[in-house]
Amino acid sequence: MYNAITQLEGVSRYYDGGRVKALEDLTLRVDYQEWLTIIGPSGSGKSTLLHLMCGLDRPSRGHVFFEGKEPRSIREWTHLRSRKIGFVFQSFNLLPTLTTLENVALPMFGLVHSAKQRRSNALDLLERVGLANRARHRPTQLSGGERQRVAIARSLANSPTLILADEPTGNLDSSSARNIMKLLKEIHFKERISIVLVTHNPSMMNYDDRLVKVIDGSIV
Amino acid sequence: MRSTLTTSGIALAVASFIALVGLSRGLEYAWMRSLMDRDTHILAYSASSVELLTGSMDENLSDALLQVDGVGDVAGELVDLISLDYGLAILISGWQPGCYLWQSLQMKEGRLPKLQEKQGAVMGRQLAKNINIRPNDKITIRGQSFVVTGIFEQGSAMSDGMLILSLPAFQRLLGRTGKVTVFNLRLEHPENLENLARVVKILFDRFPEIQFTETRQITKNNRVLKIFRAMAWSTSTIALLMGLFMVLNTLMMSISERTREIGILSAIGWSSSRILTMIVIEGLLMATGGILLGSGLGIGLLKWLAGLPQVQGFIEPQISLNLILEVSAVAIFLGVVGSIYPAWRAVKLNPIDALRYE
Repeated sequence: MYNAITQLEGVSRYYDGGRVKALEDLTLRVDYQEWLTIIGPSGSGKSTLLHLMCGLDRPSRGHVFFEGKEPRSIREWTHLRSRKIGFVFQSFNLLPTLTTLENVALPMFGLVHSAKQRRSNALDLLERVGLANRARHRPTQLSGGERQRVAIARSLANSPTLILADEPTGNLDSSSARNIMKLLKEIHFKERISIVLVTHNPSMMNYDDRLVKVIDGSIV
Repeated sequence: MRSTLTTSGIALAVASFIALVGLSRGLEYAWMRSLMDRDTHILAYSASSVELLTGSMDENLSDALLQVDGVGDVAGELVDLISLDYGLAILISGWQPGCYLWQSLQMKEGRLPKLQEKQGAVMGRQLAKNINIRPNDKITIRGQSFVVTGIFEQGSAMSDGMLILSLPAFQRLLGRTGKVTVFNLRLEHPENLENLARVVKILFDRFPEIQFTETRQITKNNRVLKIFRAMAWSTSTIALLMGLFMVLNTLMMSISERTREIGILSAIGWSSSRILTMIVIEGLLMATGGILLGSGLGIGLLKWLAGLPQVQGFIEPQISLNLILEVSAVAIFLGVVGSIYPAWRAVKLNPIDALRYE
């Protein structure tokens, strides 16, 4: 087994024909079972870094490896996102027309063929985040903290080895934010899942985390 | 809401297809059945006439036709669409007294007119019911009075909506003495196809001014029916094409509104093919809903149209499984075609842009 679950080597990401430099010659590795916190001000390139780690975006230069291999096609990255990588967004990104149960089951389509099994798995996940009693509710009927719990349950749907969390507490009050961080920590410690957390809020950091600071597209 | 309206639009297109094509086929079927009932094998009509009903031939030609080897019987017939005093248009036919056509009628009430009853008439059961006529009642056509001696029932809508007079009386009524519209030819051995072809060839050679058509082919060759059929198909096709654009428009709007959703699906690992399949299935579901709703609506519409007094006697609604399958295949094809472009647009979206989309 490789020690690094994901690794970026000399990665740059430019937009607008090179005029906008989001990331510049960045090298970073995340190990198995590691918690990495990436901090930095808004617009520093933190989210771009996460997007590159899961193949939602492609580097202008450099290489991105996942479990020692460099996925080259959209198809390979899609395959990894569906099986190995969970994503938690700042704005939750739940589908408003679906129930919480259906939202959690969404990534299982194509992997778990029995609808009954998908429901059962999704219900287990909701139970793990303490929302089994909200299975039939729609996202609009939940508080911000509850929505983020649903999003975390969804990120766990296919037993990932890496969770990428992009400002998961950014839209929450401080109490809900603490609860979400506690939940992520629990998942990290109990299930030994690597987590890369992006935040611009220093109060969300723990002293035992590995910390990377990104400013103007470079690690400082 | 938009999907429901689109499904309703497809349903209307499917319903209009079923109703219009069903009417067109119903008209053909009704006419063909009325001719088959008579035991007529070949119809002869003027080659120069645009439409069968507008033709005019000399009544005396019947003797010459009868001379052709293989022709067993000939019956001249004058046919016209006449408007009764109260506005109802009916098909009236004049038959030579004593010809074989009279024997084909299944009398339900009353009797056939006697040879000396020059103003005698018989009427189809549906027509008699529509205008409330009983045997021995009188009916006035263009100022002339006729006595309905009997009511017949052939079982075909067109026959049962007809009035039959004696040929001389009808010729006088129309001012077309000595003229007929068609000759009904009965062959001696109609079951022998080689003989049938031989007789038709002789007839064509000997009477170039006359068009001869086998009874079962008549609906295929009739120009009015061809026009009606073409109109039904083109109107229905336009309706179905409108359905295609409705599906396209609905899915395009839907994709545009769901840009963020597509980005989310992509982010959580849904492949392009899965997203594409999802959108095509949406198109298919709209088409299927439209087919189910439209089939019921079309069948109901067709039955209602065929039951109207203005149409009764001309049409026997024809709703075959084939017709439903034809329109279903077209609607499903359109549903898929209408959803492919929006689906392609969806999978081409950059997930990052889609996730940022508000």
